[in-house]
Amino acid sequence: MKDNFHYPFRAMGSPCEIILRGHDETFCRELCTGFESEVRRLEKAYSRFLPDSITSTINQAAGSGSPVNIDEETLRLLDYADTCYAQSNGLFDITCGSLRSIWNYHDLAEKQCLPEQSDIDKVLDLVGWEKVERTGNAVALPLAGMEIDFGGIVKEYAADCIAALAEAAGVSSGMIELGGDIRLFGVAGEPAPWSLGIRNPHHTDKPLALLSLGRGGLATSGDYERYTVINGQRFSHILNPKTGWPVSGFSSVSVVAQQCIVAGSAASIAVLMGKAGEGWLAELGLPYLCVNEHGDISGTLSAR
Amino acid sequence: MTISIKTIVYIALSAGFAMLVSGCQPVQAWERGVLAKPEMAIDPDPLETTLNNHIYFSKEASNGGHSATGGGCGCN
Amino acid sequence: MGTVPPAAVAAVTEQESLNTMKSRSLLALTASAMALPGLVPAVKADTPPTDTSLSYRISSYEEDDLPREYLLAGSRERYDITIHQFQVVTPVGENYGLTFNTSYESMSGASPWYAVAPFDGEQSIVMSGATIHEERRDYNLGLRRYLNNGSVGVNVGASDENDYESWNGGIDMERHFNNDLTTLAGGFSYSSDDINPSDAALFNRVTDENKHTSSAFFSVSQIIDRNSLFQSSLNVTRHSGYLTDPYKLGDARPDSRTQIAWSNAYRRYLTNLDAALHLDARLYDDNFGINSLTLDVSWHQNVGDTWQVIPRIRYYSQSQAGFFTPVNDFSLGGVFNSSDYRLSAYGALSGGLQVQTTLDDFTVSFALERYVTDDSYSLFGGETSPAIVNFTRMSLGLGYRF
Repeated sequence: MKDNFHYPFRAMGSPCEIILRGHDETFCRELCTGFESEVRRLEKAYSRFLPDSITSTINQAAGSGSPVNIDEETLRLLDYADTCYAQSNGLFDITCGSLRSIWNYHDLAEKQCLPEQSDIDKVLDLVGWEKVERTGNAVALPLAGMEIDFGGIVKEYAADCIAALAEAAGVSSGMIELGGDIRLFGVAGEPAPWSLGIRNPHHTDKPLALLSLGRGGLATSGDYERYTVINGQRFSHILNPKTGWPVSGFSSVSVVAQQCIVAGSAASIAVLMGKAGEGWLAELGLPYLCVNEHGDISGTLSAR
Repeated sequence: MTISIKTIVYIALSAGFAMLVSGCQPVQAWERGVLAKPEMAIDPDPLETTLNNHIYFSKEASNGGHSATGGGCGCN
Repeated sequence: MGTVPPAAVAAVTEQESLNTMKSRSLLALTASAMALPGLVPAVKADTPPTDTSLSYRISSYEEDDLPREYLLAGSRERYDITIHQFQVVTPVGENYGLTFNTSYESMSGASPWYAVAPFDGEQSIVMSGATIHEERRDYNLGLRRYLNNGSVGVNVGASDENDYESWNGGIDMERHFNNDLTTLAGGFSYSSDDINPSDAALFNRVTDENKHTSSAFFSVSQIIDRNSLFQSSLNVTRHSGYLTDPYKLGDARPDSRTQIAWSNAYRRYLTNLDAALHLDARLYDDNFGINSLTLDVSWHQNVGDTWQVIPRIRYYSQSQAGFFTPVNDFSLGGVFNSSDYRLSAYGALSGGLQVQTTLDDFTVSFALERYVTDDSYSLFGGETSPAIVNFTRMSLGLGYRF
């Protein structure tokens, strides 16, 4: 039996890795090189940090009054963002990036104070998916200072894209990990399961749970790496787009779904919902694991 | 007891139909990698098929199959 | 701090992760995700060729000698044929594919001339005399235009042998539906053949006859699940003109023949074995009174990344033509009659093996087939001719893409 082929690289600001099983090295290398370029293509197209990206083009035109023409892929990603917005009662909102200016955690931690409600309210005027104007293949952000960000979707989307390419190429079994979001793929009928670990947010060196999964996506959302302590209280970097304040409830949520993008959105929505997130996940029907601020674990993937 | 060719053929045909009737499942778009493999094509080796069709056409009375019959030959 | 469970391995079953999609939220998210272009892999339902490919095959076909006990006169040795096939498939622009096929056959050997009632023992077949030597060439050129949802093709061809010339052309199209899960295809072809039997004056044969053939087909292909697909086709052919075999004494056949064939193909990939099973079944009927059943099973076994081994079994059985008699009936005058073994009732079983391998851009293949006829293999009742034939075929093929 051929060894696993490992292909590590760095993209989208995170360590990434592709592992393929069941094929010879030359074939694997050729495929992975192609897969890496596909990840980079998506990074170049949707990163808000790159001035030429589609995201930046749309954000730079905010308030200008002229709609930006978009391609089929962007259109469908916006449709997907819209579905997430609807399914989360407006909590999953790709326009909430403007709130970053208020919640500058470095400053706040130094000064040990919270932002003024009046400041928050002013920025909230620039937030709201319902304000985004979409007509045909064009999109416009009506107010200057509004911005959209695909950051919460594009990594998981990239993982699913690679999975589709790999299966079209006939890969027997494989895995892609992009900064903690994982997607398993392959055309083998009964793939040997992969052993995946869910990181423990409070003891990052000891996995919280080990999953044995044959196919599908595993994504984790949470603030275990992104929070600040102010006045002795822990503030998540994940913000509620309606109130403008950080959410509280779970420090980590992991979800398993057929597609990584669905797993990722479900996990994000659960975190955004705070305590109510667990009930929502239970109804969704996907296997999940939640860790709250105190480290208590719950969910269908726990205690099996 | 000898099983006649007739019986074998009838059993094979019934088994074939049973397999088909076992149901169609929706195939997600991302699951189609296998169907694109060359060994899954209806005709993976066109030269072999043309040769066989030509030989069987000249040795048997039957004609026809998955496409319109091509040109003629004096062999039948 | 919170409780940390021991690192137990939780197996998530396929069923759980596939989930039963009961939640409307989940259905909405999944449907929206499925619409994303990156999640839909480019399944080559039908796309123009990306490379040019050249293929060559040389085959040797040898019929078994007529069994001594059936031979009344003439040569026992039947046909030996060498066949060369050559094909080029190449893209033309972005949306077209061009295919050119040509073949050359060289044959020698004798064939049954007529049959008489044996007066002693079983000798009844009179074979043609000195072995003949004949050549046949054919050519076919096809152009295919690929569209968003299917393709259209046209082709023209010609064939040429000492005593037979044919011109033919056809058009066909296919269209995909239902998210490319279903394909409908149809086509039509026409051929006009001129027959000029050799040694016509010597044997009082006809000269300069013509026959034409029209054929139409319709087929449906359906993807059943991620590992299997099915295709069903109906093919109707009509021949009119001179259909008699001029080389068989006393042979007289109607001047029109209508044939209908219903073919079904099933392809299934077995993932644990890395092999594909092919099942083909065809039912045939014509107005000469002949019905037939053809069953074909082959197993396409991948061995490693570059080899493929394909064993195959084929079963064929036909009933006899209404006007077939095992012994020529020269008294019938103008009524139809033939003792041609190919119109008799018999069954045939053939077994074959093909092995192929890929080396960079080259493909090499070798195939062997043994075909045996017997009236005990027949499903249908009726009369068999003692002249039914067995043969062995060997082929060597070479392919190259660039």
